[in-house]
Amino acid sequence: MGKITIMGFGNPVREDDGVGIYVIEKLKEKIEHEDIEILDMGTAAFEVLFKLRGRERIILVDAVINTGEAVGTLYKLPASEINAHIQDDPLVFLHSLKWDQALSYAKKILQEDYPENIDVYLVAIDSTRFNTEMTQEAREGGDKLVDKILEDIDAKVLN
Amino acid sequence: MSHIKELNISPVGRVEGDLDVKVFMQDGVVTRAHTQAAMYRGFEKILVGKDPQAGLIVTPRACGICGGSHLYCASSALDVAWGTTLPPNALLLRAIGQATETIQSIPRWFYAIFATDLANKKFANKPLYQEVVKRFAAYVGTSFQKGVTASGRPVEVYALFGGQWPHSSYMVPGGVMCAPTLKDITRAHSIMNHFRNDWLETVWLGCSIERYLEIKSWDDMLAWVEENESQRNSDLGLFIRASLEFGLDKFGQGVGKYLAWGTYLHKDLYQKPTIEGRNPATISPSGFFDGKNYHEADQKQVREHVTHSWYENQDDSMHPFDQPAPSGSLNSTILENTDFNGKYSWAKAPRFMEYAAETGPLARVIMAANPANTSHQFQDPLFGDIMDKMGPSVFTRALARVHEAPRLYNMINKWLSEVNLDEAFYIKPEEKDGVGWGATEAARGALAHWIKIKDGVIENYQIIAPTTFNVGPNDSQGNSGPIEAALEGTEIEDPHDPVEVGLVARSFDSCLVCTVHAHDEKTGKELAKFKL
Repeated sequence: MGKITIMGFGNPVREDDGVGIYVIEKLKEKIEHEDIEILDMGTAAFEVLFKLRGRERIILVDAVINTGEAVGTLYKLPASEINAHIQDDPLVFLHSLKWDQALSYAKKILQEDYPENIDVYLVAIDSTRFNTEMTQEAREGGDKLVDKILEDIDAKVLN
Repeated sequence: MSHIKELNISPVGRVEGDLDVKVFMQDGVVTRAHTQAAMYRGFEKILVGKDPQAGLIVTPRACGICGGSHLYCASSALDVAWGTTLPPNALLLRAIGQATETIQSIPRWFYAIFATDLANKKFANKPLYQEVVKRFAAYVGTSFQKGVTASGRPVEVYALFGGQWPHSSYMVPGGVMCAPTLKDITRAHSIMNHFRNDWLETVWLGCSIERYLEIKSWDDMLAWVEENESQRNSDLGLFIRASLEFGLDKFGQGVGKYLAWGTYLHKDLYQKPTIEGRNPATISPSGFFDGKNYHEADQKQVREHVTHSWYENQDDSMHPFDQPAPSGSLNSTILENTDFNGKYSWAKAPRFMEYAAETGPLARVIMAANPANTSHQFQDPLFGDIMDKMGPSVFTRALARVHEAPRLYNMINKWLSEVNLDEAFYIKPEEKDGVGWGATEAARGALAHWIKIKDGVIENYQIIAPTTFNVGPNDSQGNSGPIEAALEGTEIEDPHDPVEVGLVARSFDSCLVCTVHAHDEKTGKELAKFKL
């Protein structure tokens, strides 16, 4: 199975933007295993860079907007499917670059240490208002995703 | 005939959030500049009516890189409002949290945000250009990766005590929620030691921290650069030589007035938190410097103007305690369509003694040079001398930021060794109604939270972030904000690549609030095939 890191992104004070963190909190309640690291990354995607080295499998969880699908719809895709569009343009190098940008950056820094096994789970959302409560739909999407991830990482290791 | 031109720069690359800049130029020189914060920031609004401790959870989420600083303010504001008692261990661990967050920002800011501009083609004809490109070019520079990698270390120390970084909530009214062991302290020393060996002394200084801290004047600094090859060729040595050769000391002056709230409350001097008792208890001293004289940093002197800000539910020049929660009800405009005679930014215009004031490392090192500082406070005359000899500039501001690293390194180790594992870390306080004020120095400057608690819930919460001071628009008198002022007089060589504007803005490390994080899939169709 190897060492797994699960990272959730989002802002719990921006309504459904926080669904990635909600999933992380639920997973922390359900998983306790020395080889599985579960991280609330908040909005500090730059830190992704420092969490990849030495891990065999990376799972990222984030909200996604503008999908045209119902709130709570789930997606799973390999990170390689996401184009960060920043590769060689330092002018978009933000303090809070997003994880997709951080990954393309990490590739440059880590080179052969870059873990290729990276999956991204996304939960479709719509609202990012200033609100500390999520909508029912996003929460249900988050709950479903918790189950998916538990299946995904080989439930045997959790017993 | 003079040539008048307007430039819309949006976004100013590598600046956090959405900062847009409009500059008016005549004959290639900026005559007027306006900064536009393009994002509504309404965190205060969601706090109204909530449990007083909601600020401990919500405000660290206001920012992905200054979460610890917000937590420091939120817990301090409640300490004051509730009249808590703070054990020395709590003050030490809060100081360690704040200092590790700040020191991590130094290499990250220098390499990832600032120095890559020195590799801009504008400087291609300068003798040091090749060396600068070799070391500082984005991603591929030989020092770029070392510095960025080192920047990940200090917040590992924060996470040891805070549970995680960013967005921790370990600082609470009455102390800190952690119970470190000797192993944690030892581990923290060891992580910091890596930071020193992997970057601070080897790559950055080219000498020991002790040798560097002997520098007391600008002449000392220049002599230090030339003292030996190791120092001359260190990244700091190269940065100083290249900055002077490239002319970074010649522009970006600003308003010439500086504000620091100070931070790192002394473990034995702030066990009974009050607004009045705070300034004397700071280790990194507070103050307001008007260009000639030092004044006390009294929070009562803060006012915010909104004549040019997209807020309509308040008057100009109100103190934070008296302001309503931000409404966010006005419509903003994009830079190209903005009338700068009217409202043009989501940032308010904070003023101290009715002056626009710069906050940040330059303000802090100016306060450290105050001859009136007491024995437990920083006493470092260097930037008093540099301001006398050279004045403010892009270079002075950048040098101030990196100058903090060696001193903070020593302080973190000192504080770690002062933690007494057998003593308390938290004393449970009693909740009550009242008003509170908490402040700190975030990496980017003076940060403060004002709270009013009534009937057991938050009646009012106001945050003024360092970038609000620096990036704020004109006030009701038409006076520019610090970055606006710093841009005026700047010569722009190539309007198609106005790197000078970026250098000025980035010397402030201006950081607007990062709020939303959702991945934006602009073409939902492509995503459809990955639907579960």
